[in-house]
Amino acid sequence: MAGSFETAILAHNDAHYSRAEPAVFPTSRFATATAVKESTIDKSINRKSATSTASSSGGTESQTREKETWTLIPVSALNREVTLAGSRQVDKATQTEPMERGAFVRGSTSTRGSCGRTVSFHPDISVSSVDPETEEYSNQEAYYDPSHNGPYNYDHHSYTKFNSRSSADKRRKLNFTPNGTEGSTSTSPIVLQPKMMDPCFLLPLEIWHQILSYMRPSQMTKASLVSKTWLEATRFHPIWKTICENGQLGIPKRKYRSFMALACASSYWVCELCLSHNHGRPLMSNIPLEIPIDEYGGEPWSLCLNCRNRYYETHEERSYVYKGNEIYRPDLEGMDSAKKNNVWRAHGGFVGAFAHTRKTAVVRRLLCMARSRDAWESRPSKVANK
Amino acid sequence: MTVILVSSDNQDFKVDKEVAERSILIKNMLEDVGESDSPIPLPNVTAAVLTKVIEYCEHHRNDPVQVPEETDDPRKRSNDIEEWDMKFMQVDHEIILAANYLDIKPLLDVGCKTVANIIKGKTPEEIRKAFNIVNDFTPEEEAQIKKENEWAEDR
Repeated sequence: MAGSFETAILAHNDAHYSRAEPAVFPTSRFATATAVKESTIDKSINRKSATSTASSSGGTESQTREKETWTLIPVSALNREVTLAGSRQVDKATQTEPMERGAFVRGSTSTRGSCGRTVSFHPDISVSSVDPETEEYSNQEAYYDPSHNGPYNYDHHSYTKFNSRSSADKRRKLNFTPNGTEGSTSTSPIVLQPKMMDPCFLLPLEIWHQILSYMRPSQMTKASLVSKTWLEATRFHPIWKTICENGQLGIPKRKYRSFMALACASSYWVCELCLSHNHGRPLMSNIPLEIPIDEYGGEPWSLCLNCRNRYYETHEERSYVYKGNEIYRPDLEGMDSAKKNNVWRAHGGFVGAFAHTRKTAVVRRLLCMARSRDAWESRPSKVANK
Repeated sequence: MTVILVSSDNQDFKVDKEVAERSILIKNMLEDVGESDSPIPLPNVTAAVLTKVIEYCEHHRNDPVQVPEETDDPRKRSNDIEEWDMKFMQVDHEIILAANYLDIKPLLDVGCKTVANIIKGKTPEEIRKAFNIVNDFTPEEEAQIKKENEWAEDR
């Protein structure tokens, strides 16, 4: 029975290696995370697997099995630099999978004494765990260890808490999802696949910020609603600090805990082009108002009076304004062209004149006050913080 | 003069020096090493990706060196991608990562613009669909963010 089990393990291991092609493990860190994540799935099964290995030690199959065992050791122990790559790489000298802080090394189980853990495979479900005999983690701080660093969130198939890692690392780790049903007993093992398309997850924070810099703040804010990962990555974009500095909005405190929250609370008053801040004084048309920008495919941008005027120097204003589903047309028939031009110039186009007459700024101020009051009332209490 | 580039999977690529020097990383390497026939290892770039990058560099070999221009528009434009670049550049994070590693700014810009253009004008739900992302906000969290932020609402 043990022999057939070992054979099954070997067959599974072979299959596992063959799957470690870019299609399944597109990057080294994915492969690493796969094995790490598998470690939390079912420790009891691994114990069975390890016992089986121990019972058949000395045999040919066992020796082969030992070769196929993966052991996690810290990169620092390798005494050489292992770089991250866009695809799976194995260092020729050490036969290691590169990763940030640790590496899986093929080797015999006898080497695990210094490493503290092994990774083995079950024929039905890919599993791994701590050494069942010693239960020791000699270098646990060097590893990404979900059982210690944070709980596995079975609802979202992700780990939710990490030790000291960069935000980019955290974002990457947050997005692994298993390709299979959790706890499945089918013959196909649980293989973790990253979300292949999610750029926020795949790219470093700097590049992600570069992508965001092609968007206006309102778009960035909408993008932040995609997922927690996106929210976290968007929150640290430097544009929010710039907006707060331009508008002298202060620094994040209890009510608004980040520059993004602070800037978004004043979003009615921020010009999306020059990032200036205006409350609609002295003219109510000074507030940022949405106008369609031809260069951006007719996207509506909130522009301040100066930016609108600058834009209308080279572009013709549309002679209507959308408000909801209704279209408002300017009633300037009786006005001579000179006066019309003056009005348009003073208010930054018809849209400005419209806002001035309708007192849009006052309406916005009331909305902001209501929003601010709601935010204050729904703030986390001191007790909850403690 | 040709330069030999070695990808992470040990494939050799012979390219003109002029083409290879579109990469600032390789250009600096060649300047540091001087006249040498030794191959340049690129351990972070696979052969498949390097093929694409070389294709891009070949196409843009005669382009002038990009000078960062200071405009009064703090928001950069993303709709000025050349037609060839648009066809060339599909959303491939590996090309973006390779462009970042090899320090090929025009390619990195094209990659970032392509991703930005996909995100632009979409609602969060549409973005999730486009990138196959699972919404991990609870309805309460999502409502709270929308409530605090007028920008996140549809206007």
